[in-house]
Amino acid sequence: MPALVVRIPGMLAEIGDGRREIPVEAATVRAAIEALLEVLPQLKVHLLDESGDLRRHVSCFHNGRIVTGKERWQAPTAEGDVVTVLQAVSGGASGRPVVHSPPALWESGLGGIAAPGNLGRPCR
Amino acid sequence: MTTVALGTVKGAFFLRGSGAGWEVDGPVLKGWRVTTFGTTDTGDHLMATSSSWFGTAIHRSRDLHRWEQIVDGPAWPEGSDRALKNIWTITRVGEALYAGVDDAGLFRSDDHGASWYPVEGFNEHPTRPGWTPGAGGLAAHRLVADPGNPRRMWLGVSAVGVFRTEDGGETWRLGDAGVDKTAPDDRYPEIGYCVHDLVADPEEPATLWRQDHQGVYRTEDGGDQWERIEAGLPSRFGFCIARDPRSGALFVVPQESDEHRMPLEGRFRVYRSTDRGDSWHVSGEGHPSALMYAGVLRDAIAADGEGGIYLGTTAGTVHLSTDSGDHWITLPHVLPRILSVRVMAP
Repeated sequence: MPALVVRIPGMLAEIGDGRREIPVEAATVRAAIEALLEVLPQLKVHLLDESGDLRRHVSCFHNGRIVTGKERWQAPTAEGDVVTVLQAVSGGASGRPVVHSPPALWESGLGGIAAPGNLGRPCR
Repeated sequence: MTTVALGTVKGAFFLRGSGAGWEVDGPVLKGWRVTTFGTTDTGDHLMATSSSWFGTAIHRSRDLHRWEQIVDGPAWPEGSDRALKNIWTITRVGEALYAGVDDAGLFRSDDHGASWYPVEGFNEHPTRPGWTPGAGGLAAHRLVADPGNPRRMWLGVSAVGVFRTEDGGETWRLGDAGVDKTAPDDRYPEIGYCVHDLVADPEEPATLWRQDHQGVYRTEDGGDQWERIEAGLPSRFGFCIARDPRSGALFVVPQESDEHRMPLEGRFRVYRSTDRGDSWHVSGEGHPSALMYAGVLRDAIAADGEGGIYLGTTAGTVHLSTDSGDHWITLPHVLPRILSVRVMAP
């Protein structure tokens, strides 16, 4: 089973155990999120909505690339991969997607902001 | 030393002090919207949070410093077409806890908040298909219990009305006669009343006061009939109503209208009634002298039972009186928009 890291924003780390990087072992992106929720079950209500899917304004990235659609949700992971959970943000004058580099944002300490184009298209 | 919790849109702050000396610390759970507070029968403190991105939860603390999220908090079942957007009230009734939420629902805990289950008699009420959210959502936001009979409770729901149960929550019926409707719907004639806040007199549990979208009302028969009590108020509209247990005085903070929702001519004033709502007057001295276009939301006023009245505003300012509203002071701090104020340790 590949060993990888799930990164979470500061707001979730605060109600977790303080860590923003949680090492897990998982064979797919979805399994990585499920493994995260086994370590920190209090995050389930914050990541998943009543449908059992990721919340509409929560986005998920796999090695810096947004995860959309069932296919990529089930994408296999490899040793050392990074799955990043971020809060999405909507709006913008043009309404056009602006793609940020999630790792860069995450490392900025801002907790991460995902692009408008991500809205409504999280890992499903 | 009194400790007052202040729930803001960006975390919780704690006001500690007495007399004229007050300090504020925080934020706790920075970035989270803190919608209300509660206390268990075992003395644990509870705090409800939500966010625009993430979900809603209740956190528990023994000491107001270290907080731990309750994993099995109130939740609609997976697959539900309802969403849990905010928890607007946590009320202790005897050993039980109730959480009122948006989308409108009521949840109960019998294990000091560790787990919660839905109060089906309310959540599946026959009028539910007609419930429609107002500007602030579809919120079950205020639960009041008869201290002598905990099976008798009243529950306020925005844009729907005031529900009453006589059997501990098994069945609920609406009681809004005498109140003007805000959202009339011919298909559901018993709903459409937009209650903003409720407060009761524990000595006379059939007497309740109500700040409604349409005005300020009182009932003396448990909600069968309501009457307007607005003599002396500059306007009918507002969000909060509170009662000082020491003096019995009532407090409201009127706003210009439902259209404008700010103090009349920028004069922020708390109004007080010392005759059970028959008449109202500006509450004592010490209101801000400068223009202040801020309001006080439903849960953002609290009394400590010893004459202390504490309120927080939509502008993030904190105002308090330690003598039942005769004199007010404004603290120098400016916090994020304040949603909730609760005395945690008088």
